[in-house]
Amino acid sequence: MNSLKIGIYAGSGTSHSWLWFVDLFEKAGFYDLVFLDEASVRNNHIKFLDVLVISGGDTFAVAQSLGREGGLNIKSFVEQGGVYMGSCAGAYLPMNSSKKPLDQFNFVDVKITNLSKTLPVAEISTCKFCTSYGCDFVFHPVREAVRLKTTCFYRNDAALEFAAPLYGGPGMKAADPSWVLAVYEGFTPRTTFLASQKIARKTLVGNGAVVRVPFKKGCFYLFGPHLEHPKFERANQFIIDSIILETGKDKAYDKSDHGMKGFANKHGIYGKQARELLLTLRRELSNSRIVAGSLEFLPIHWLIGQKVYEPQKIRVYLESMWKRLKTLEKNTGLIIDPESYTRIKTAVGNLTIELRRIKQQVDNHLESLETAITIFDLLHVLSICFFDLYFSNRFSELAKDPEQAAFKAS
Amino acid sequence: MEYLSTDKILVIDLNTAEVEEEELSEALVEEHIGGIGMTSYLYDKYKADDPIVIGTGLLAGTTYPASASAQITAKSPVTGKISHCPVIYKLGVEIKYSGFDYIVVKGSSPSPVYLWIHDGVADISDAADIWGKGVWESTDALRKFVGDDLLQTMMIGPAGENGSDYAQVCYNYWSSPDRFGFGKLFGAKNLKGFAFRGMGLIEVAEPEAYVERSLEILKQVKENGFLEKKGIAPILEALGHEGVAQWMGPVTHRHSADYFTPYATNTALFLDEDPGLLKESDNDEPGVIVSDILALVEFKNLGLSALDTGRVLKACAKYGIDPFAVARLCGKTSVEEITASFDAISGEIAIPGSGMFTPWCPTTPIFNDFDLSDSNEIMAWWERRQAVAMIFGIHPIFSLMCPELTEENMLELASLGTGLELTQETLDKVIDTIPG
Amino acid sequence: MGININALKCTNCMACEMVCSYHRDDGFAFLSACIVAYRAKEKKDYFGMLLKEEDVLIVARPEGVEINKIGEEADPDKKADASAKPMLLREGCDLCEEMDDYGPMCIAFCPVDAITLD
Repeated sequence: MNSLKIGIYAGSGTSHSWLWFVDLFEKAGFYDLVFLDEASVRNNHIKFLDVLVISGGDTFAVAQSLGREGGLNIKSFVEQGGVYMGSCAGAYLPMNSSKKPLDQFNFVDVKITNLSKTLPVAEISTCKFCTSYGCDFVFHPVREAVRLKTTCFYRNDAALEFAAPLYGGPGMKAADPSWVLAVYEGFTPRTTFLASQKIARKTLVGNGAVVRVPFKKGCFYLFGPHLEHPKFERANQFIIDSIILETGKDKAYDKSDHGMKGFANKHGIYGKQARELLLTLRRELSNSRIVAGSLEFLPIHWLIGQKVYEPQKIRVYLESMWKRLKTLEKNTGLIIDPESYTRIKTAVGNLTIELRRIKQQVDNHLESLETAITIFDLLHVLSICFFDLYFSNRFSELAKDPEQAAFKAS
Repeated sequence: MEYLSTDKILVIDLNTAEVEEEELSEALVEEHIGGIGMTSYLYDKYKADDPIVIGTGLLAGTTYPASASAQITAKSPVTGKISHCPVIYKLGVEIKYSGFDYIVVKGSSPSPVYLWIHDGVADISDAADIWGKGVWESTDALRKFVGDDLLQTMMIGPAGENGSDYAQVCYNYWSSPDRFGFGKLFGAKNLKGFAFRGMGLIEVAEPEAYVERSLEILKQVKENGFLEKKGIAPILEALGHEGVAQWMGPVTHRHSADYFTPYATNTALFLDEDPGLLKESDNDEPGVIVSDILALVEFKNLGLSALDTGRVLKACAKYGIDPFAVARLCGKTSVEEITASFDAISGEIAIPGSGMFTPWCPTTPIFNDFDLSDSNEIMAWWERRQAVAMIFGIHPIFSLMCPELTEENMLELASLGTGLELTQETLDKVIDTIPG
Repeated sequence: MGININALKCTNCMACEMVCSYHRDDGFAFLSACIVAYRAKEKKDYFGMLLKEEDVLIVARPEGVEINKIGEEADPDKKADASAKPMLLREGCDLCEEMDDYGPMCIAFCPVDAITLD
């Protein structure tokens, strides 16, 4: 039995919620993770994966970046037996749409229930709670935790109820009711209503929250809420159980698969070279965190595309890497490919420079949008390389001693 | 050392630019506790290299009231004695959170450098751009370069670079408790200073009990009436200096406290701005923050107005020179003459008692008499109180105000925090072995 | 019920920031606090407090309190984004709802009673 290989899309158009998937998979003992940018999807590096995950962000930007080739590769991947898991923006992506560039991804006959020709009245007038979507509008009737309940089509066990947070994800109506694994059951004390409760109920309750669409040999999982959110353990477990169920692979690592398949271009660096790379990472991530922390409470935001980016978001990426640094530092050697080695050193050094630049721009009331765009691009590049480095070396520990792999049975 | 600690001792050799880390073991803490107990041990270990040892008190940076201080231990180039200078404001705490409990700096650098300590990284950085600059300019330059206005610095100014016996190591922009000429020591090593910033986390062996006891002690402290007062005027008046509040009143802005210190021991004087202004001043440098209460009163006794005193104190802080020494030794009475005399002053400033603790701290209880009356008893008490404050990292002036902070409860919290059994016997032994 | 801050009483000692962060992290750090001692204008002796609540940032200045909505758009013509995801770095004040013994810790630990419950 081969080990499970999961690809996480972290390229253009993503917000930071893919980091929640990283935390989830690491906690579950899934270490064979591949971090993908738009080029790797377009160049079909996904064909060797078992699972492809696309989380939240700007659906249109994601579609734009992946393009027609990316769309075709995703389709082929699922047709060949792959499991696609799309959360929020990743759920909208493969649904039928006439709006460009989403029309390159019309893979599943699932309709959005929070779609309307005319906008319902917003309860909270300060929120723009809709996006134009073809001829219609997608609107978001609620935010925060909602209640889900599994249907009779999800395993043969008694129905499961759990909560998960909604941040712009869809309510869904599937062409085949047996595709609906969980519905929106209701709301929680933490639910924020952006439209009237009546409209929210009508839009969501009883409609699909988790939909599984079989597609030739594989399937598309569409999650309306963010089941991967770190504070919703039962929702997290749903994802893990689904992966195991679909792939037939448990988390135990199989030595016979070790081969260097995942490490074709990688080699080990040891001693001084490894220490220098780790020290560079620590130094520059620290320098970057320090500046990012100082930006945090300043009244500054940047509008990049359709999304607002706040300084806190910079720290989200940095903290996600920083907290894993200590684990890496325990290694005397590192498995890394030469290109990534250079890319990490360059990206992390440039990140400090750009962050210090933006701080000066902000302090002097100068235009900072260009620098912000550069910073978020650098964060994407750096985080992809960093997590690739991190999980390659996690995986190699596993390769050394599979008995030590930590995993949870559901 | 798992708890209340970063577990690291940093050793920097300025000659070779080598940076090494040693483990801070539980055995070391059980033997030396922390603060100057440990810095004295480290000084002795590396004494052949004339080291500067920076240490953090064992309780520094926690929820124990007034757990604000770190320490500098070094041989004073003026007195020749091993001396201990408290590190206060928010700097003391930042050192621990920057990733090291103790820092040993050996030797001398061939060219001017500063040490940038951040999140467990120690960078020996070229100080060419700030050598020759004043303390304020240097701190501003580093905060701008690093991109963080909360960067904490320990800097020398021209006084230290020029080898003045009265050179101080200043903290951010402000004069410090340094009466030992440590600024001269830094300058001789081509060490412009340190910059610290860190976002660390300190683990606690028994966090709930630690925090609960901290709150109980704080409540006892609050019941002591002196917390109704604020700033340096009440302290000086308690020490018998009359009329200070009226003298300072016209230029007094606000009072601020060091980390977790219940009494606000610092007073800001506004010299070029309306002291009543509450909103942010348009003036970048409207005044000076004063913590050196005895220097302040020395200038008052020279007949200077509070405004002129503030101007001189600001000039001393920028130049990196001990304002008390300037006041005591300059023999001048106008701002212009005093500031012109910085490089020319000479004479001795007496260090009381054994000579190892700074007389920046008044050598007497403040607000509460601690049941002491005899002057010899007071001096012995003061020396012990300073030693204890600097072992555990308690604000040294606050420790003179507050009988509720006892050796017993410091040891109790130290044990709760570290998980080690730290006893009165150990503390007595550590105090006895501190050189001086 | 909410937190009330008297910035003029505040002495900038950071006790509130430390204990709030402890409430979040179970160790001593400053990273996660929702109440922060504002001290970035040191030379100007200008200090106060920032308190992050669920949707708003309370800026307790010595000259008065200001309340700012979090996540307001960079483009003033656009409204806040309903699909924005929480950062989870500094969460909004929950009045230490799980800490029955103390109530809000910032209030319990402030040595000068600059923070009270409304």
